[in-house]
Amino acid sequence: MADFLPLQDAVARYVRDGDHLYLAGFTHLIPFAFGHEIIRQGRRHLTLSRATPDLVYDQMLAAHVADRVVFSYAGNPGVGNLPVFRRAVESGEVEIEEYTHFELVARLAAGAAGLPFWPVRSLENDLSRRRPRPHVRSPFGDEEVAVVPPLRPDVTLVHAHCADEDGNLYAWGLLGEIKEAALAADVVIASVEEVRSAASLRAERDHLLLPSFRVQSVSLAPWGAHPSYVLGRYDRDTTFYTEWDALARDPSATEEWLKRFVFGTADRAAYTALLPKGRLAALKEAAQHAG
Amino acid sequence: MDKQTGIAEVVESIPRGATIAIGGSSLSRKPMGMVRALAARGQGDYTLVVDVGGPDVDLLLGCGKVAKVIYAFVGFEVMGLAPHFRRARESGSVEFEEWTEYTVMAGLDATVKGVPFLPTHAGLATDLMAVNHSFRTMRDPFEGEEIVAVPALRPDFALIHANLADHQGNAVILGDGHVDVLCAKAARHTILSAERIVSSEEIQRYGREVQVHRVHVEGVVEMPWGAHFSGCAPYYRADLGHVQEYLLAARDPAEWDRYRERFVTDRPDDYLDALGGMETLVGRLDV
Repeated sequence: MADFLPLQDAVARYVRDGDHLYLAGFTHLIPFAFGHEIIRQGRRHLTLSRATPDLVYDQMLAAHVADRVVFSYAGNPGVGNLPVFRRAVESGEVEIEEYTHFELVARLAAGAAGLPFWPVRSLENDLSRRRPRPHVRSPFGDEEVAVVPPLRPDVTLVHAHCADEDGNLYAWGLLGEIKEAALAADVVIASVEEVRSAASLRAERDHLLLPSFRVQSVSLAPWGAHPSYVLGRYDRDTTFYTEWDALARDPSATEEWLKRFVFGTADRAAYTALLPKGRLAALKEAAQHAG
Repeated sequence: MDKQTGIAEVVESIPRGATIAIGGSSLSRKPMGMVRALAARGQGDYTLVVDVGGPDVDLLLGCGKVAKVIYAFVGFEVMGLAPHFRRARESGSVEFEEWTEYTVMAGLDATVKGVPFLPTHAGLATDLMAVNHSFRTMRDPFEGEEIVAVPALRPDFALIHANLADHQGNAVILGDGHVDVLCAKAARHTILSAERIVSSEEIQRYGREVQVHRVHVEGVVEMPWGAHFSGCAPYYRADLGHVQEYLLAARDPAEWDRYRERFVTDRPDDYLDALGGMETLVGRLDV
């Protein structure tokens, strides 16, 4: 059963230097509040896995928390590169391990099932030419099938719409690889927009994201996915995603941003208080029409 | 594209010896209208693929339409064993391959993913490996661990009963979807029956409950009470009274002939009449 903990305590208790982390959520429900808290607590030598590193890993890399990134698409969707990630790769500060989306999800499927590999039908490509994939011979006929090894994060961090009092997590809309990443991990810690009564969620059981017995801790963190979005609650802060590009290209501006918005804030409420006036209201309003 | 079709066309489109995956689970949301039509007029020698079979497998066996069954379980839940299934297993008149619920899913999923097999731990150190020769063991290339390889299952047809569908073959399944989506994706041809055909605009309102998508579907038949005598949540319960009648009839060849005469038809309206009409069913089984 999940414990309810302040987000700071959850990170302090479950995230250690050198851990392999997976901050889940595909465009939607990205756990930025957790990313920022890991930066504040000064974790080092992490391995960061994520299909789409997104701004959350760009920010974490700017704070030098990681040595290695495992991913399948690194970019700022619709805007461009991830400037910090790019610098860290070019300077050799981080090692990278790159897969296709399907291979990365297949690695999580193997991790979640406790299996030693997963077969994939995925053509030879520049990635597999650079890092040859092992093959097995199918025991049915002679076909050679490419396989990927399991991915087993020490900790998967997720953000969900809500939890009930027992810590069961619920989410609506795009789920990406959240379930696979959570089920593949040793430990799952969650942040949520709100806590609701189990009774009010009785008719919503199709939207159960993860059962409480698979979740170690739940932390209340409204706006915990900003600048990504939470369907029906707040829209994606596309302005911030666009601004990040110029900001992150300039190392000293990036440093300043971290100082002000992450190190300079104690928690999510302090962070959102620094956002431009009217931004939160506009994102809330936009979410009502994003249906 | 309008994929609406009639039950006669469905039966005709399925050739002798076809491999047919059937959706639903024991007494829940079985495509019984289509199954009855196959039992009445189908060409037979079918190989059936079910995760959890019940009246579907039993009726087709009882009408002599089956050559082989790939299954994890076949039965009538609280009502007991499936009589024709049991008889066929005991006499060996039909070929059987016993799988498990997960391995049937993995076999279908392998086809969906385009791989010849999927790995699993399920079955290791059990008698399953002795009774089912379809599975193989293999070594994992990283650590050398022994695992089970489940071969891909590629049905020719999938038959699925949905709550709602549109004319293009998008279908809403309310409640437990069982393995119907895997069946729809893995089969070469998927045919739906649905309690009601609604507009595509109305279907869209159901969001994630639109579990079966038109790209996987070739035919749609509107068939109210099309899952009877299994249930179709949340509309109607399984008809346990009828199950009792079925089980009694199955005890005796003459009784069974009478049952077939009365109920096993490819005309859904005749079937509903034989049951005393829709109003009776609504009164008895509506949830």
